[in-house]
Amino acid sequence: MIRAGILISLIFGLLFFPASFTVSADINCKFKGSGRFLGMYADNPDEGNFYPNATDTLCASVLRLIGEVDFSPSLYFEVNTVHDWNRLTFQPVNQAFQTGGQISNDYRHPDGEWTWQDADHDGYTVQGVSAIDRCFFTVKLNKMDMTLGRQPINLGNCFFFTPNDFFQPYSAQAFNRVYKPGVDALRLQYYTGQLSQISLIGVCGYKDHDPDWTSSALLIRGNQVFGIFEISGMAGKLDSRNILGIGIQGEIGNWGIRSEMNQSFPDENHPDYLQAAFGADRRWSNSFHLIIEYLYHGNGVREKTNYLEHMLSPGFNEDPYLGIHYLGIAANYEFHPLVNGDAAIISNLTDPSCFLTGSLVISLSNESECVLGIQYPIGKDPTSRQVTPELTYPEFQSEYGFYPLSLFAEFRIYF
Amino acid sequence: MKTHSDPIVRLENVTRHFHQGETIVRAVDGVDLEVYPGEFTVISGPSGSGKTTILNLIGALDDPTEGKIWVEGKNLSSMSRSERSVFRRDRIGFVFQAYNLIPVLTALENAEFILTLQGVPSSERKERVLSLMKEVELEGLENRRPDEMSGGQQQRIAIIRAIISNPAIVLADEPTANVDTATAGKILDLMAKLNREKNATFLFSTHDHNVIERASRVIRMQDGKIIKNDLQSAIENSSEDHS
Ligand SMILES: Nc1ncnc2c1ncn2[C@@H]1O[C@H](COP(=O)(O)OP(=O)(O)OP(=O)(O)O)[C@@H](O)[C@H]1O
Ligand SMILES: [Mg+2]
Repeated sequence: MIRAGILISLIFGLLFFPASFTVSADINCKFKGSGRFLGMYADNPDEGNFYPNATDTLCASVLRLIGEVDFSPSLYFEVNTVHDWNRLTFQPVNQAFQTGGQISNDYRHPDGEWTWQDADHDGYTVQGVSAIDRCFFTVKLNKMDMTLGRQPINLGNCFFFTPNDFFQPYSAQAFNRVYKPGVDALRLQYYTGQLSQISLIGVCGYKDHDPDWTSSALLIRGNQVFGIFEISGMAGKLDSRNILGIGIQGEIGNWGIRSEMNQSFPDENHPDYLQAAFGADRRWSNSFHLIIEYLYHGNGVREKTNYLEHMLSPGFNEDPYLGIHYLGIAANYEFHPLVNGDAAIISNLTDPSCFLTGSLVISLSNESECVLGIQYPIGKDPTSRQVTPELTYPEFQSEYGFYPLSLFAEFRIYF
Repeated sequence: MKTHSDPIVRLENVTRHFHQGETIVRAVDGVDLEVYPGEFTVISGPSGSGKTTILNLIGALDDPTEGKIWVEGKNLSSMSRSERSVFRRDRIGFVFQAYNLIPVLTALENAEFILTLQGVPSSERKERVLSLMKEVELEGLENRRPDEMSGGQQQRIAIIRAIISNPAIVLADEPTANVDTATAGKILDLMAKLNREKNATFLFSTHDHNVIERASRVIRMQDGKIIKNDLQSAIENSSEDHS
């Protein structure tokens, strides 16, 4: 059923791309999409368990087909399918460090994804996957909106560190943030005034193929503008924890101020913890843009000896930080109308270790661009400890010393 | 019955020499051996007879000076270094006499470590490990660190780790050498049960008579050579159980 849906959307997509047309006086359809062609090379740390290969490579092409339909001013529909073909030498265990910052989670029904090619070759795998990344309706009533289906939900305000972004977040080192993936959700928004609203957000989690209450989320969130600040508060349950959160966003002078934090109350076997991010950014008239953020990561561990265990714990994929204190700084500058440069550093302040990212975005035309980048970890390499003649384990010396150095090039086209 | 299937392990005229100063130690000397699926085989012999050396060769931890070794039809000497490490991880289970677990991980995390490296999702890993732990009466110990467990408990966790990813063969080098007789009995029970119920193939070295008695086949080594290679009647009976 869902596979048929993907196929139909593909066929329709190819027939109409790129097109925008009016079906009747009221109905307006828009079809668009993008293609990405990505090559990546990684020079791995010397750690044979997690990095069996000294170097890894990835080639991927990702086609995205998007349909947006305004049935009427009060009814909107969007479908966004993604078709990914890749060849990679990465092992499943180290893909968490390697996917360019995309993090998956369990808020999507597995049937919305179709693997049409999956071949294991000597030393590499070839995979073809199509997925429904978004598919939702929005109904707008007088004081209320309702969105139902696979939709992006972003509850964070910060750039690097987004502890309040619970659903398919980007990791701090993500270099492609064009489309935030959707999660299976119902969202009701009620406008209590011009500057305030209350929303109810239910996100369905799954266990195997079935909806599962423990893995699901239910949150109530309110936000209100007070002068120069917008403040939001939320409460509810997420997977197996209860949560209370606050977000603040505003401006002081030339600086944008952002903050978000939440307190998690997991089950009786796990201690409560706080996650908080504070940030400021400023854009100068010469296009220079600076972002500074700090993260207090209460779910992390203090001792390096506990890093391995924390990294292997199931929550690490959604919250990929090991330590407690982090600092992120990013700068963006337009060297030329066609050339944009980005540089960022994310640092674990306790290790200490850091991860540098640099990229150049070169516009080739209105609809296409090329990205060249490097991700450069700085930190002490892990030490290999022998437990038996055949088994070693990594003793972490620093967090980012465990990451590979990678180079990537990407060509993007929008249509 | 066993001879109809292909051997999991085949050694052809395998020799391993070590140089010690001027002298050459023939740790393994012209050995031919085949191990078939579902076997529960012991290598016995005096200290220094080559038991550990032969297990290390089969486990691709060491290379023969001469001869060829195939595991599941693959010639070990034709594999690259990284192919070997993936092969060891995925196809061979190892148990050693010191039950070295990773000290910074819990019993559960130790037992599922190989599955983690293979990229098996955490819920599936946990399910598989906990069901095995339950079967061997280690229930409730999953959150203990190695230093909070007895030697026998640690060794049983090490055996679960070796067996959990369904390897072609488990190589166990004196798995009961460091524990008392009662604990050794429990460890053997576990291995025999895994052999019977999951058809896991075991090849282990031992000095322990209690262990030798329970094997389906006993290979006796001396000075690097196989001097005796017997199917035991006790084992014939047990193999009837699971055929
Ligand atoms: N790395 C090595 N360098 C030199 N000689 C070695 C090496 N490993 C083993 N040997 C020698 O090879 C012979 C066989 O050793 P091996 O460890 O295989 O015996 P074993 O049967 O396992 O003995 P034990 O019952 O004491 O464990 C011994 O003489 C040993 O000294
Ligand atoms: Mg030995």
